[in-house]
Amino acid sequence: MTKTSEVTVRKLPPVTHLCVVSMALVIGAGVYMVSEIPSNPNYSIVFLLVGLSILIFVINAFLLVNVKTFNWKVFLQVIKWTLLAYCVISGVLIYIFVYDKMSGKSLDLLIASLVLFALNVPLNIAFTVARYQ
Amino acid sequence: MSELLAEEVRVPNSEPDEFQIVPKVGLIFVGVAVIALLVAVSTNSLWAIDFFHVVGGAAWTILDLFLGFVLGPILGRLSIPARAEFTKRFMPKMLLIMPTVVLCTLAGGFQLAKHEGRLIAHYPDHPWLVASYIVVAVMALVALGLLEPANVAVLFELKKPTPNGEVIAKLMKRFIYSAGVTGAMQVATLIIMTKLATS
Repeated sequence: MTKTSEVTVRKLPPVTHLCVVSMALVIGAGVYMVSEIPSNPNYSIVFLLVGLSILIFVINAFLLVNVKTFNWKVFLQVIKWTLLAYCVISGVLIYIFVYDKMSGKSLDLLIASLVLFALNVPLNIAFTVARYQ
Repeated sequence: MSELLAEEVRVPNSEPDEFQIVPKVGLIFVGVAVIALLVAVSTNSLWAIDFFHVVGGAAWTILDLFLGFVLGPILGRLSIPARAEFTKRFMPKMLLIMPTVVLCTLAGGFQLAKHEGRLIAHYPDHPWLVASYIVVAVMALVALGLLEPANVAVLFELKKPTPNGEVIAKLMKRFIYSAGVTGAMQVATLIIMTKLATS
């Protein structure tokens, strides 16, 4: 097997898939909460979606940390800048929700959703780049 | 496109360092756009909010449809070196343009809907608004979960002295598979937005 094919076929945890599932759960929670404005959504549903998303993110990070052969240098190089970018994007959205006088559980859950979003996207980008290095 | 790239496993790269993955000059424009968006929201100017939503949304839809159905097939018929050269100049710009355009569209749209009282659940056209949230959610998942990571990874590969065509081909497949989904979602967006604008 050549070095070329090794980078495309080597076995790694399903980080991209788990990131997409985690993101889908928080985006789903966000869509549900916003669609219920101005009344309060069913918080059990939202807590379940956000909780599952957090759980998947933690499992994903754990699986990735335990990978032996991985280009961590490139991974860290990419994740630090993408984290900065997505923190700015999430920050702007949080500012808008706060500006719109959203408060209580709804605001807390939207912030949690945006934090998860700002973690999942950089993790996915950095993993995709580093896995082929 | 991907099959053609895969045929040549190693694509010689004559000038490996000639491009920046994130164009630094472009960051100035992104910064200006984000600050202007925040000013528009903070001043609650209907015109400014509408401007960000309409201009951002139009750019997002047109770029997606044009890339997926016009430029994509043309690129697929170009020679591998020509495709690599185009990608090196084009994708770094898209890396800055798309997130900025999406942020302006969504933030502007949310504020516009609030301004016009359309966010409220008993608003007559509220189901159309919820449909637009779902469409945006699907597009966000495709763009952020699949396309943007592939975009950045392709640029890193093209930065190498000898880019690996197999890796590029594998990543580019994501663009081909998602073009149909993105196109369908953008057409749905056009239907929903024209319905909301005329109701």
